[in-house]
Amino acid sequence: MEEEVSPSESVSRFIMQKTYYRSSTQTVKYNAFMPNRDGESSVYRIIDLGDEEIFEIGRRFVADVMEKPKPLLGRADIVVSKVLKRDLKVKPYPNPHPRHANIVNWPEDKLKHKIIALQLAEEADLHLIG
Amino acid sequence: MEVLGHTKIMEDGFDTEYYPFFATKLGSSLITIEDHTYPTIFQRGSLQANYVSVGHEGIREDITTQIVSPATICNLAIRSPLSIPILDIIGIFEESVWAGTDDYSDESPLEIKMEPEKEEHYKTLIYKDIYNIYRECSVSDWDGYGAIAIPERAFNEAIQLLDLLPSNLPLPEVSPEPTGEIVFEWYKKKQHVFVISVGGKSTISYAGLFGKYSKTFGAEYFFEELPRIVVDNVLRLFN
Repeated sequence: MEEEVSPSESVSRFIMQKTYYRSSTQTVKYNAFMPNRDGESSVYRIIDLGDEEIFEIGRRFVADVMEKPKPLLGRADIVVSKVLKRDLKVKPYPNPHPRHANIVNWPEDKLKHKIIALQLAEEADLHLIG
Repeated sequence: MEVLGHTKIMEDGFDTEYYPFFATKLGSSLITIEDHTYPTIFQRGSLQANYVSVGHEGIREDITTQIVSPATICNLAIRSPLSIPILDIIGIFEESVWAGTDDYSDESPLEIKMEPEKEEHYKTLIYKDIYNIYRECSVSDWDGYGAIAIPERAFNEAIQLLDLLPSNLPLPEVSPEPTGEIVFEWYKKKQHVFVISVGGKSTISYAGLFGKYSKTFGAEYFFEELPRIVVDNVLRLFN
């Protein structure tokens, strides 16, 4: 993988929660993109990968390693340029997988997290398994 | 929705019919019944109820206060369906004392149905969602990304928030936020969405998109009254 994440690349946020998407409209909810307590949203770079390869990463490196493993339900894909547009950054963090990265640079003001996550969710594409 | 059991009520020697009603056992809490005329109120610790008997013509015959079990509460609802039309009070229980005095403790368990027939029961469906979210997300890392556990005070605040929502607003969808909060979302279409969340800290935080160029976000103090800005923004979204 290139060290720098290109704005034209897409990244995937894997989803194990039914409440993170709207099945009626097949759209992503903002919760899926909210950062964790360390101010990071974990994503995977999916350039040059097919659907099944992407989901396999999600299963092996996200869903199956949860303390109480849950089935992988799908993923939210977003083009990196749309993340950068919100003054966020996508920083490669090749652990536990070479394609792993984090969306970082979330504002100190946590009230802004919701609105930014809403904007990211609006620009993301939902891909459900099956 | 946890099924508490099922029962058939015998009254004056006749089998009464089954009445649909709504109650949910919520761990240490119980969603139970509200009789607008004679509220059935349960309090943490004391676990006392104003137990109302209603006569054949709906006339209040006596009131006694006693410790009751969920079965008693549900039977009260079945026996007096007209005087207890809406089940939306949150009673807080300590489970350990449920084995206390119970008029109906020797009868079959009760079946709790979730088939609202009246418009005013519409919020009951959301109670169930809130509870399911609380139950599923009250442990750390419930989303696989290090999410914070949703605390009981967030659950209680979400129920309070739901109770305060005016009935003229569309029903929200409920979901968890990895910050340990419970979210109410109103979604109209792409780029038109408004969300609020509570985490048991007497604060409602909110954010909304109203088309490509309009947005709002912020936080409001929340205690007993619904902040006006919540209603305004939901109406803005749908109007």
